[in-house]
Amino acid sequence: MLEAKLSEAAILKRLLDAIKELVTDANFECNEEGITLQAMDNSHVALVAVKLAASGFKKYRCDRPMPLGVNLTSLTKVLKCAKDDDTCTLKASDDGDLLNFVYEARNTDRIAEYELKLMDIDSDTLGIPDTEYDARVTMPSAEFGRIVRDLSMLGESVRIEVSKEGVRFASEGEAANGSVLLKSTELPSGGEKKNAVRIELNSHVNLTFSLKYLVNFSKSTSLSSVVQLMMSNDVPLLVSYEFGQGHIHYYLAPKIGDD
Amino acid sequence: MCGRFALGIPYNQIAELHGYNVQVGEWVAQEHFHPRYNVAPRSYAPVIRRDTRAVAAEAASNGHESSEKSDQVIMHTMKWGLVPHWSKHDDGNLNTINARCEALVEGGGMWNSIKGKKRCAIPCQGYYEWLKKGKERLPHFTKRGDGNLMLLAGLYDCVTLEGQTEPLWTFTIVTTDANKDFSWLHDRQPVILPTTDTLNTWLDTSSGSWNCTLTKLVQPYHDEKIPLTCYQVPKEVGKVGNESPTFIEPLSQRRDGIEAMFAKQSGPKPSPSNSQISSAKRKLDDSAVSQPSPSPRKKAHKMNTWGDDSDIEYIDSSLAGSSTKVSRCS
Repeated sequence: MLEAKLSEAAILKRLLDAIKELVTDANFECNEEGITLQAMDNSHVALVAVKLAASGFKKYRCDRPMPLGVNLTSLTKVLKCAKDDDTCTLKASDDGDLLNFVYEARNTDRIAEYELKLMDIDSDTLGIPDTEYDARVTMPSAEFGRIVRDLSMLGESVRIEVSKEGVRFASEGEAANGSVLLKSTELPSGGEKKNAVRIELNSHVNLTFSLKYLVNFSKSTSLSSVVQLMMSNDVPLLVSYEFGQGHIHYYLAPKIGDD
Repeated sequence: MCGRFALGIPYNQIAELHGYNVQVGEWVAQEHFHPRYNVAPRSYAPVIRRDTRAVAAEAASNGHESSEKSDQVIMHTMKWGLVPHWSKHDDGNLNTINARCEALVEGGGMWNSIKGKKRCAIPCQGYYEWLKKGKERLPHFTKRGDGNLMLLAGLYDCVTLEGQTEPLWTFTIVTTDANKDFSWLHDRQPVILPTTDTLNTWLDTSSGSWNCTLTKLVQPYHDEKIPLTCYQVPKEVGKVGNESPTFIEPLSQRRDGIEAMFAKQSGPKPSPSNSQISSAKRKLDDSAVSQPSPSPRKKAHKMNTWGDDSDIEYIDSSLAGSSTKVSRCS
C-alpha cells in the first residue's frame, strides 16, 4: 500500500498546474524512493519527468512499487478542494482502483476526504540518455517565464543562443521581431546574489524551439524561483526546476530545418 | 462525418492500382488533380468508374455485346462533395462529402437517383480521422497493412450549373459503422473495397439499381485477409493548407520528435546510460487511447473516424476554400 503525507497541499496543486496542459493522463509510479511521473505530450515533441522524493514527505510509506494511473483533469478537480496550507495525505491499497486524499486543515478540526478513480494506462518509460550539455543557464524562473510569454506574442518559435556574451532569446514574427539578451551576472567574489544569471559554457549553442511549449513549461515558476536550461546542439533542451521535495524536468525537441 | 485522405504518389503509380487486377483506360481531367498527402473536401481527386460512354457507344453500335466491354474502367478527376444533377447552384452548404450507407440501403432521400447508376471508388493511401481526447483532437491515419492503395466506395454525379458551360463532376464517400477494432477512434468509417472482386461488384452499374449484394458490401469492414493499420500522425495535417509526406508516418517515429531525438543521441555514442535506454523504450500510450501503431501485422487495430467530428475546423481558412467547416456528414 501507499501512504504519503505532504505538509502542504500547495505543492501538489502547483505540480499539477505545471503538467496538466501538457499531458492528459499519466501514471504516477510509486516505490520506496518516492513518486515519479513521466509522460510525453500528445504530439510526442516534449516529455515531462517529475520526481517527488520520499524524503520530501512528512510521512512516506510504499510497501511495493505500484503505478497510479490518473486522469489529470480529474486529479486537478480533487486538488482544487484543498486549501494551499492543508496537509494532504495520499492513500492507495495494493490492488484498489481508488486513490484517497485526506485534507486536514491547519487551524481547525476540518478533515475532508476525496476519492479519485484510477485507470489503467498503458505506457512504457522512455529512456532518457545521460547527457553532457554544452551550455547551462541558471536564471530566475520568473524572468524565463516573462521572456517566453513576451516573445510568444510575437512569433511561434524562439532561437536560444548561448555564447560568451550571454544568453539571447530571439523571435521573429510576421509583424514584429524581438530579442532579449541576458548577460551573466557579475558576482562579488565568492558571493551569492539573488536573481543572478549564471552561464556555464563549453561551446556555443544555437537552437530553435516552439514557444508554445516553453510557455507551458514556465507554469512551473510557482514551484521554484530558479530554472536551469541545459542545451547542446541537436539535442533536446532540458528545462529543470528543483524544489524542496523533488524536481520537474521538461525535455523539448528542437525544431529542425528552417521552419 | 467526413474526411481527409492522402494520395501523394505520382500519377502513374495511382493509375497502376498495384495489387488490384484492374486496367485503367484513361484518366479524364488528370490535370485538375495534384498528388497531395492532405486531400480535403471541396478539392479535386481522382475516382475510378466504369466508362459509361464506351458502354453506350458499344450498345449503340452492336446491340448486345456491351456487357463484356463495360468492364472498362477509367480514372476521372472530380470534386469532393457531391452536387446532385438537379442542382442549379453549388451553394457550398451541402453536407455531401459523405453518404451514409444506411441511407443507401433504406432508400429514399437524395441518393435514390444516384446509387444505382453512378458508383465509383476513390483510391487513396489511407484516410485520416481525428480522435477526441479531452480538448484535443489527435489525427490518426488508417491504411491497408500491405501498403497497397485503399479503395473507398463512393458515388458521383455530374451537373451543368446555371451560368456554366462546363459540366461539374463531383463525388462523395460512402460511410458505414466502424468495425469493433476501430470504434475506439470513431463510430463511423468509410466503406473500403478490399479486393478486385468487391471493386468490380461496386462499380458494376449494369442493372441500374441497388441490390442486396451491394448492401453486403457496405457492412462494417471485415476482410480478415487484408488487415488495416492505424496510428497517430502529426497534428499539422489538420490544416488543409499544410502538406508533407510525414503526415502518413507514425507520430512516435517522427524525426523531430522527442523519441527519435533521444534515440539518435544515445545511438551513435554509447554512453553509460545505454543499457537503461535500450531496455526501456517507451511508446506512450497514455490512456488507452492512443495505441501503438506501427505493427502492420495486427488487425486493424485502430481506425477511425470517418466521421464526425467534423465540426472541427480542421479546415483552415487560410487556404483553399474559405473556412468551410467540415460539417457532419450525415
